[in-house]
Formats: sequence, C-alpha cells, structure tokens
Amino acid sequence: MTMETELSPGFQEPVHGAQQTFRAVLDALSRPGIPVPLSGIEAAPDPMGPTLAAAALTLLDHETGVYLAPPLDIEAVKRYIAFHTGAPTVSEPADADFVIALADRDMPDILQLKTGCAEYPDQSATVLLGVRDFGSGEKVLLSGPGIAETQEFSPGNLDAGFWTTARQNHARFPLGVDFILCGPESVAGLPRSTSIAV
Amino acid sequence: MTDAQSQDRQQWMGILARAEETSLAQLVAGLDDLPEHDFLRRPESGLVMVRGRAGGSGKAFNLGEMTVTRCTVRTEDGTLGHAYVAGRRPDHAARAALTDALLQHKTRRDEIMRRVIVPLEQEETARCETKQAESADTRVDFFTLVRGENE
Repeated sequence: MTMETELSPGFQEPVHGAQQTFRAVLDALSRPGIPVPLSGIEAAPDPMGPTLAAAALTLLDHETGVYLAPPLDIEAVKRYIAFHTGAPTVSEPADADFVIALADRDMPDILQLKTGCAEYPDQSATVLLGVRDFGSGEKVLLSGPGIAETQEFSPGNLDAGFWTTARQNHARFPLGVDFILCGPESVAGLPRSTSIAV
Repeated sequence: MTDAQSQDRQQWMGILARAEETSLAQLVAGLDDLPEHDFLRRPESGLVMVRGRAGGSGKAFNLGEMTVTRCTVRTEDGTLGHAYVAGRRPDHAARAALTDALLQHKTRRDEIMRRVIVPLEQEETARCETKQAESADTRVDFFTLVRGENE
C-alpha cells in the first residue's frame, strides 16, 4: 500500500497552543508595532516558520479560504494546512480571507485583496507575513489606535515597496487589510488603523 | 492506492470503529513490539452531521448530529494511521488509529489481521446474530384473510 507522504504535527496541546497564540495575536494587533513573544510550532513544514504556522493553525478553519503565496504554495504546506485546519486553498488572492506569505518573496498585490465593504468592513483579508526579525529593516514611525504617541517599527527583509503599499492600505480605512507579522520568536500587528510615517 | 487496497482499509477501519472498546484494548495490549509513535492529532471529540437520503435515492436531508472522536497517529517510519469512532472515546480512537498504521506495514499486516481484526470481526458477527435472533423472536407476521372477494 502506498504510504501517505510526510505530515508534521501541529500544536502539542491543541487547546492551550491555540489559546496562547490567539492571545499573542490579539495583543499584537492591540499594540501595533510591539513584537509579542510566541514560541510557535517547531515542527512546522519548511519554509513556514514556527510562529507563522502557529498563527495559521489558530486563525484558519473550514470557512476561511486561504491563499498561499510562493514559495509556500507547495504540497507539504497545503497538506499541513488542510489536515490541521480544514481550510480550503484558493488560487486567486482576491478570493482569500487569509493570505500567507513570506516578506521578501512573491507577495500578492495587497491592494487587490478583499477590503470588506462599508457595511461589513470585517469581511476583509488578513495577511500573515513571515519576516526575518523585528529590528534589521527600514525604520518607520507608527501612530494611531493602541499607540500612546509613536512607535518605532523596523521588521526585516520587507519588499522595498511595502511601506508605500501599507500607507495606501491605511488610507482606505475603515476598509483595507490587516497584517500579522510573524518573526522567528514573536508576532507583531499592523492593522489598517495604524498610520505610517517613513 | 488502488480500489482494492482502499476497500481493505475501509473494511478494517470500520471493524476497528465498531469494535467493543474493551476487546480492542485487550487485543492491542496483547501485541508485541508496538512501534514508537506520536500524535499528529490527539484524540478529539466533536459533532458530525449525519445525512441521509429518503429511500436511498431521494434528496439529502440532515438526520441529526452525532458525537465522534477522531485521532491521527504517526509511527516512527512516518506511516499515518487515522481513526474515527462514534461517541466520546479518546482511548478507543487512539488504539484504532495505531492499529490502522500498523496494518499499513506490509511486514505486520498478516499478524495484525490475525490477532486483532479477525477476532473483532468474529465478535461483531456474533453480536449481530444475537441481536437478529432477539428481534426474530418478537417478529409479528401480518397477513390478510380472504375477505370474500370470490362471492
């Protein structure tokens, strides 16, 4: 009998793992730009990092279409997401409720993603973005809800055009998409409500 | 996986799922050198909607929800074993998933079939026959007497 291909485990303790991750993501979105420590799933398939996998397994379910940007659009990651969350993958970024991407790779056009509508701005896409770290990139100043005055933010290896796009995304508020940046050991939030000064 | 292989697997997964929890526990405990394994999905229970079709061919309708426990194990060589059993029975699901993984090992298939699946199947057949015999005792035959159509 043919053996099923390799599949890695999810959370060791599904309930506690998902709750801790959810709390970290919630804190991250409440205080944009401040990385929140998160241990994540060590056994996540490459090139998904531990925190990216943890966020995906916590937030996705069978009702959320997910778009996997290259190089994540491989069988190992698809199977992992499908097995642990039941989320269907979609082939067009514009149809996705969640987009999972790596910062320096083929990120889909952010401005083409679901933004929600005036009546239901919550029906928008959320982008889970794997980044190298939270200190080596271009420095920007964040302000807005959840930030007392300003917050310095410098996630590593983002595309050159990312901050321009992120500012255009903020300009569409209350519509737009929210970002959850997943570093090696922490996550940081960049909701659409945050204004960005380069 | 060919159709025949799928059918074999469907059959043993069904037998494992319908087995008495205590019998399965005894039979699995009697096996030698169980492989190292970890859980890809720890036993978890939830609800599934059971759907049916009137007369087997009508429109699909929701019959009702039932509790199901599912589990997936991975043995040391990477083989995956799955199990879905009725009710809230985490230990049963874990043992059934491990047995499913073992049955996929060519070297152990015959042994496991002989020592676990065949006894469980016999038990199930016996259980069915008892049940059928019990209900046969209470059978009522309805028949209609001739009511003078020939007059």
